[in-house]
Amino acid sequence: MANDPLLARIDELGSAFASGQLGRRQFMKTLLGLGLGLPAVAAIIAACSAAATASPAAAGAAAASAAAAAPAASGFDMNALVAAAKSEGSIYQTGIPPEWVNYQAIFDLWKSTYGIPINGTSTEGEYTSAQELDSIKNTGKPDVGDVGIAVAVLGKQQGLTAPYKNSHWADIPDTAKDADGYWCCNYWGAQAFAINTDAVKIPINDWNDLLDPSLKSAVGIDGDPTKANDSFFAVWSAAVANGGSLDNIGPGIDFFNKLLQSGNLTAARANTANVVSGEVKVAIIWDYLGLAYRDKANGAPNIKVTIPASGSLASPYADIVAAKAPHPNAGRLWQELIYSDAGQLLFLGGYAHPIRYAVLNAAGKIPPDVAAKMPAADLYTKVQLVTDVSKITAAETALAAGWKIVVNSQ
Amino acid sequence: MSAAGVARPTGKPATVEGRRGLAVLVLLPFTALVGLFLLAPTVSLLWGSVHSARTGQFTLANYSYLGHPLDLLPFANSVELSLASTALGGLVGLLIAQAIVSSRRPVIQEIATTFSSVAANFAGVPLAFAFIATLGAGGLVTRLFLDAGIDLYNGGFKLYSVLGLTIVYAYWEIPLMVLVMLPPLQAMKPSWREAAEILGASRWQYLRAVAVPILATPVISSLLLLYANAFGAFATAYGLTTGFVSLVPIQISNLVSGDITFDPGQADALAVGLAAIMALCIGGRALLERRSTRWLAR
Amino acid sequence: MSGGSMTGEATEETLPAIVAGAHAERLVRRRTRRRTRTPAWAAVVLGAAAVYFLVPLYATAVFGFSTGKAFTLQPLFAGLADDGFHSSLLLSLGYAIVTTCLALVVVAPTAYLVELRFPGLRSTIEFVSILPFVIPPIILTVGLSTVYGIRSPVNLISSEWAPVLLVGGYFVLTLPFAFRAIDNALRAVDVRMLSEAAASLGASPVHTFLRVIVPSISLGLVSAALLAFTTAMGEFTIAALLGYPTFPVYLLNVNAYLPREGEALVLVSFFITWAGVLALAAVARRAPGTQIVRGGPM
Repeated sequence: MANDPLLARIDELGSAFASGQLGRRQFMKTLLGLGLGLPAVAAIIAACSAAATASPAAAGAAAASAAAAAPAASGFDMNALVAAAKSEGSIYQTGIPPEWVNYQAIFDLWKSTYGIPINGTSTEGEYTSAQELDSIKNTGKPDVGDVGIAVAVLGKQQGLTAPYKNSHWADIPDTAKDADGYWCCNYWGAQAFAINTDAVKIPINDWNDLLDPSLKSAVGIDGDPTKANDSFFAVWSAAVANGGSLDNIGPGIDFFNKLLQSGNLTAARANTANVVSGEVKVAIIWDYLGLAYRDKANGAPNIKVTIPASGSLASPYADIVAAKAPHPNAGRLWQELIYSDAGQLLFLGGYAHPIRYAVLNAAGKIPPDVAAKMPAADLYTKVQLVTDVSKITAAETALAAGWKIVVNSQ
Repeated sequence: MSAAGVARPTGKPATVEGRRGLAVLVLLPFTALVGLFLLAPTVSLLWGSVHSARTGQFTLANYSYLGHPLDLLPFANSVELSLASTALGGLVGLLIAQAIVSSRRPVIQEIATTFSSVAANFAGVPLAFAFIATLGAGGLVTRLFLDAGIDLYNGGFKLYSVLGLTIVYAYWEIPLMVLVMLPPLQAMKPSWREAAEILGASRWQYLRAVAVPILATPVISSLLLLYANAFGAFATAYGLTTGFVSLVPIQISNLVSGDITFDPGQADALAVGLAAIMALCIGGRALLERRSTRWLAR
Repeated sequence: MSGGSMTGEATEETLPAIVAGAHAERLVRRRTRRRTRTPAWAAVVLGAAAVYFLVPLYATAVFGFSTGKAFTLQPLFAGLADDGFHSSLLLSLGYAIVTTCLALVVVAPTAYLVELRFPGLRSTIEFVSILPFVIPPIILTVGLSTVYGIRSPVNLISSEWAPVLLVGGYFVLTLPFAFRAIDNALRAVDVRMLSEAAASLGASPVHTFLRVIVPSISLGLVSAALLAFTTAMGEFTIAALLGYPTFPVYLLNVNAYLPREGEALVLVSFFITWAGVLALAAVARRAPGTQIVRGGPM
């Protein structure tokens, strides 16, 4: 990469811009003229502006590394892909609802950048991961889908997904992508506590704080852990934090049993209405959901979202391209958008952690105002991303057996 | 349609006995709708319950729940909940229906009937939330009790339990009972009461010898209807809680649309179990209804 | 239940009654009218019932019409302005109207023909009309999504014909109530005689049905229409599981992103429905001796 003439040119331009020799508009026009896509250009300019205070040389290097992360890097022809996608005419999505992790903004960015219509009914947008696979198998209409990690692996096994390594492949941890390219994680959320600070007067930072006697009937999860992903991860996170591990969900079941016996656990679902009305005062749910509730409540009540200190698990979602997609190039272009800096930052706007978060953070590309709306980054250091599907299945089976005992003990 | 009329002028007027073909044609839409949207799903349910969802082979494994006590828990809960809410809804509903009849004010009757038909349809998530807002841990009435010094939740009461669900189910069980019992109660002719009084019967004797035998059939048949409704109800329980009070309709929906488990064969088997119980209730009710129309026909 | 002494009152009325023997009828009416004071126990029962039914609605209002700190109507306006509100309400209205028309147009002629020409089919049709009770919506949806869903050769769900499934499902749900209402009305009228009379005057069967039978059973038709309409408007289970954004489903969803607005809308729709039913009851009151009876929710 060091010898790439394109990057050298960008390095040059970046230095010129940082030292003031090149105006911003001219910088942008030149970059575009080099064939870089808009997201890449925006990223480069942001990187240069951030690094401009340091030194022009650093800015140049920052520009180069930003460009290296950009779609139009060595060997890959973005323009050709865009042209091919446009000629296909449209793209069909399944299981991608607009109100979920800011997907509406991503739809808007797609339309404004490429102008390719997105098909797929709102009903199909609400499909569960299993239904998405069914739809790919039996209707042959979808090109792309957003599924849970377990279903992504299943899709590869059943030959329903097509391999594609998007241009940011290197940024993504090995555990978060399929070695052959059949699926790739796009974002994740971690288990968090959403606390109604108007009603709860004690500080809550960790699992054991939930056992405090002042929290009678206050703590809730969103549904049955043997059926709903969110609640399942709540129990599993409790296990990891209380002496268990990914392979041992027993301590999690014990913890919730303790919570139940103490009278602190409520059977009310931790959904928007119950959290906003104050029925559930401490909700153990995905961070992006908790943050969305906080925004919804808008101060009535005040909700604070924090990540439990001793342990929290994160479950990623994955983007898949259908094996026999009617518009394969559009599907690939969609993935390019999802994994581009602009796409990934939009996920962050929806409070989900984009899969390239570490890279973006190291490059200083996280806008401070977005970062301020989320729990502090250092709270996330103990979060474990779970991508080993065999472990998920094993834990689910163990939970199903053990949870019945908890429920029956009432 | 005109062919028959033109071919043989018999002088007979166009009677209703003619044009059998047209009659069958008229029955066709009904048959089609029922066949496509009622019978086909029922058959697929039966078929799916004895075939594995994964392999498509014949199997009785989906019915394994009949042998596992823990798997029968949803049925036990559903039965308990339905019995409790039928008892509550039935008794209170009967009382209210009689109060309406005794009040003899048509305006009360009007308000009660119309409100009942709306309340009976209020079931589901809106009702669930209304009761969470009333009797939930942070609910209005809960807090009223707290102010009065009674801590409901510390004392063991929970809205999210069979007892709590019974109270919620009553919101539409009572109106249903009222609507179904009003006609028989109004058909109790006052002259019967007066005749009994003239013959020297006390109120208790009148109730025992006249009212109860006549009303027994409609009351029992209404209770069966209430029971069947409670057993099959899904929307309200779904809106209130999942996981801590396991009920059969919730289990069924989890098996078809849950994130983690997806087994339509098992769902079908559970559904057949549910339907069998409903069939008993409804069948019993139909039998009773046929007997009672004799007494209360005007 | 009212303890008035009969003999005492009779004595007061005796003289005028003997003098004006022809007014005996009016006399009885006057006597009973004197006992129209609502008995105390009935008032208590009705009062308690009012509390039970209104408090949850009040609790909903407290949450819905508030910013969290103060009373405000703002959530209602925000809710009414929400895009989804209009589209889902229109969608539900559309489905409700189609279902109502279907129920009337298909069930009425069928019931008429069964009554008139195919009495042997009566028990079959009655069994069929009871079947939807045995197969509650949750099970019906599972069956429908299996037979016509993603995994089946006849995949309606992913095509533009998908709404047909919903209408079919609603028709099946309404069938028991609609059939019962229309059938009751038909049996109250001497259909055979009417039809034969019309035929002997030269009317075609269609003409007979439209001009003679339909007006005679008009109240049964109104009742069936009301039942079909409210069922379709309030149905949640089928729409939710098949993924249609009808009004009840919308109310559930809106609670997820606009909780206060959602509850405000729920309350408002409750009272609007009640007003509608009151209006219809007023219309039906014109024909004495008939009642609109609601069968029940699921």
